[in-house]
Amino acid sequence: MIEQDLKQLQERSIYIMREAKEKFGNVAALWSMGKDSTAMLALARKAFLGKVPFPIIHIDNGIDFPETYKFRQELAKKWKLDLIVAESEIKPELSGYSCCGENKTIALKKLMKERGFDALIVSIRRDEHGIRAKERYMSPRNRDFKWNYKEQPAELWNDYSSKLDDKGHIRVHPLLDWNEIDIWNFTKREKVPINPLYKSKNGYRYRSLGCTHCTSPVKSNAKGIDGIINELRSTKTEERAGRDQDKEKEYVMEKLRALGYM
Amino acid sequence: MAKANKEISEVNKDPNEKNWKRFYALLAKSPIKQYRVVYRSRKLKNRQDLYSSVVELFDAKGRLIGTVPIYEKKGKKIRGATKYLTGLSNINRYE
Repeated sequence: MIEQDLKQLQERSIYIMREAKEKFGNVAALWSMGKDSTAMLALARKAFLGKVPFPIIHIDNGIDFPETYKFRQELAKKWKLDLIVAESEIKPELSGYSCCGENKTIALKKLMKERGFDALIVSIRRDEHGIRAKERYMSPRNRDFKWNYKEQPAELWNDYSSKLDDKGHIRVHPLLDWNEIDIWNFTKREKVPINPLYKSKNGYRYRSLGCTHCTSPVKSNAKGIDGIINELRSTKTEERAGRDQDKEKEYVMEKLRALGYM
Repeated sequence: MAKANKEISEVNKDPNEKNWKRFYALLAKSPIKQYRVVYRSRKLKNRQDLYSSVVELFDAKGRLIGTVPIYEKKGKKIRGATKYLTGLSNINRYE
């Protein structure tokens, strides 16, 4: 795994977030309490003088890990986050992948309609999954949340799209060029708090965190961030190998994203 | 321990918000320290899969104390209920 220059990555991410805040009147950010979205919040605090000047949304289907809820509670208080919890139902009678796709997207759509957000900061990275590699830093969604991945803005010379479809919104992706080890190097350097599930316990840890249903731990002895970074320098396993959703057929992820979920 | 059993029993009988909140209020004072989530099916295909999934509760030494459901009934809606286990430590294993 290539370790990139953190200073350059950080500068670009801060620039993108400041651009989004400047161009769009009503911005919010999604937070899953994972390492990426927490790193995004730490970058936002750097970008905006120690504060996070927009609401933070957690789409909660109620089956996240208890450690995740505790981490949310503690960090929201410590960083004085304007936290919105959008509760979603669990309707398992919907088809297999739709636990996230349908249930969480419905909750997000409802919230977006209520609050009228026109830009949503989402902490995806291109290296996580093939379909995410198709994303742009500022990626338009139409009013139905649909993403036309076949026709995307060019983003030449750091010029990012601010054109909103009628009642659509823009997905802002400040971490697109980061990779997994960059996130951990940044987390270590900036002493960003992390969900304790990332650390090894009894020979297992969670490398990627979703809800209790779709996330499995991996064998690891990495008890701290240094151990995690050392492990990543030699691993050949994909980051999201423990995520059931990604084991669905590849087109499923593409379909989810085209429908408007992250 | 008898008190923990009562709250666990109530939540199993009827996992409504009131019973879950009572269970959560008890948690800090109980011997329950760890949990393991057990889904009956790798994919939740229907409500029965969800209803038969449980959270196993253990003390600090890993002894099983009881099990609770993974869901909460909120009126006609079904939501997850793992937020009521905040403060416990995960001991899931997968081979």
